[in-house]
Amino acid sequence: MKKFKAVIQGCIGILMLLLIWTVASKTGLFGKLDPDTAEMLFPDPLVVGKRFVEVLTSGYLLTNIWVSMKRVLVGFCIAVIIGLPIGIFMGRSQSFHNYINPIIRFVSPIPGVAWVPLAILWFGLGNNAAIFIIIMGSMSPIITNTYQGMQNVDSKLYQVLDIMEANWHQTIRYCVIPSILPYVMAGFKLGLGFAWRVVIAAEMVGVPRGMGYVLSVGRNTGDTAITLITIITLGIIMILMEVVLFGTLEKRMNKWKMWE
Amino acid sequence: MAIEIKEISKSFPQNEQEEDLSILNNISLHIEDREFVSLVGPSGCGKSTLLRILAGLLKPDSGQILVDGRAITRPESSRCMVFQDYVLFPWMTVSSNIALGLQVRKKDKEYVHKKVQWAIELVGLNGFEKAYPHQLSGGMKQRVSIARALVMNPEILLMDEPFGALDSFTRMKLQDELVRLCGKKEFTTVFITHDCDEAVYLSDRVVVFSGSPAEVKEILPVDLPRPRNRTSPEFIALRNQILKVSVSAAE
Ligand SMILES: Nc1ncnc2c1ncn2[C@@H]1O[C@H](COP(=O)(O)OP(=O)(O)OP(=O)(O)O)[C@@H](O)[C@H]1O
Ligand SMILES: [Mg+2]
Repeated sequence: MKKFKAVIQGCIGILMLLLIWTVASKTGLFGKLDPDTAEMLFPDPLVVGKRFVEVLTSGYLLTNIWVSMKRVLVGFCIAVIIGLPIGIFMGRSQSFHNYINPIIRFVSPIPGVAWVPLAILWFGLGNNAAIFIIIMGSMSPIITNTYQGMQNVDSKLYQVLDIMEANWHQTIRYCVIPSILPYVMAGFKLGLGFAWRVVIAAEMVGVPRGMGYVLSVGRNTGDTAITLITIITLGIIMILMEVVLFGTLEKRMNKWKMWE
Repeated sequence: MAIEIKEISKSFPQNEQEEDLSILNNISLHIEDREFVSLVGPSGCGKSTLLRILAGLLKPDSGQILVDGRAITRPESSRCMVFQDYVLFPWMTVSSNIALGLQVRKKDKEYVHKKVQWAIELVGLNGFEKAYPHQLSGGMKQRVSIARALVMNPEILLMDEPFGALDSFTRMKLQDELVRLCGKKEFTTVFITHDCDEAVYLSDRVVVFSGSPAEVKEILPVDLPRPRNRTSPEFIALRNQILKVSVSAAE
């Protein structure tokens, strides 16, 4: 019942926003703009909605979503494949940690978009540049969070497995992976967020196709509606990703009740 | 298996101090095959440290431990450990926790299943096979931990204050079960406790340690028939004696 009420209230909030938007648009930002400019810069939700159906049916939007998404998925997967073992190994070996930690401490605060020009110089204007930037942007939160999880593994569990004479991959499988899962999830969430941010930025400054590219074309042609549509679509994608990818796993982890 | 502890010494580095702190100093002790020995002594004197060395989890600075004449160099699944705080895997059910050791040892499925069933029966956890540790009481968690050790057919069972965190009623119940399990004389048991009553109730011999660094202060045999009566004069006299020795050892 409580949940139902919360959903209703959330919907009312969104409707309010749409209402304010409509009023602001119809009145030319409350009389501050002349009607022609208002129509161009600030189209009302109905116009945007119509345009949305248009670009959706023509396939323009979906193709470009798919282009960005593929870049994000490929880049992110590579970041996981590299980052996860590094984080785990840092937790198992103090000297490996000592070697690698300064590099990570140095690289991780660098904003992911700062790599864009370099990536374009190295890889040209294409997928590879985008993927490189995504890897640079999303790897450090994955490493950092995995390492943090490793430090929180109950050392007695290792002792139990040592007594059972478990080898290293049994230890990873039965103890390390389940222990660090919540931290890894947090790292993945952050990493995926960074991945989307940098891929949009890269596509806006020159990497062809993708959602950032749609945004920049929108700007160049004065097409406000398409930029609004892209922004809203991005929001929806992020929510779906959160629910589909992380929601199910988190439910499962709650069952074990170890992370309260 | 008989255990021969030979002149074990261990010290630990102290924070911001040059000298390491000596915890165990030249400990020697002989434990018979299938004997039940309790270790008592002041808190922090190094009982757990000695047990970890026995398990092979920790290396002594000097001295060695022989099990049937063979020196301990590493942990082995024939020497199982039961911890005070259970140390169960929160993401595994009761039966998976109990089966883990056998799975790690790559025993075949049917054997694992049979053995786990047997252990669950033995410690009285029927009906809780599918439960997760957070759904169990402290006593039940400790039963899981004991079952996890027993499925390995240990030759030596090491227990570090296994009942220390339990209420006295549950503790007595588990003590009785332990008496029943050890009555079959299938393994040697080294049992750490703070509770003199418990030590007398369970043990063939009680070893009293003195602290800083630990030394064997006194060894008291318990020659009472089992099941023991906690209210018999002999029991009470022995318990009081151990209490007296350990109090003087703590000073
Ligand atoms: N890894 C370690 N590093 C430094 N000091 C340690 C370490 N392990 C144990 N100690 C120290 O060794 C001493 C003995 O510890 P131990 O846990 O063996 O005592 P104990 O007899 O089991 O005490 P209790 O009865 O309270 O469990 C303590 O002073 C402890 O601080
Ligand atoms: Mg202890």
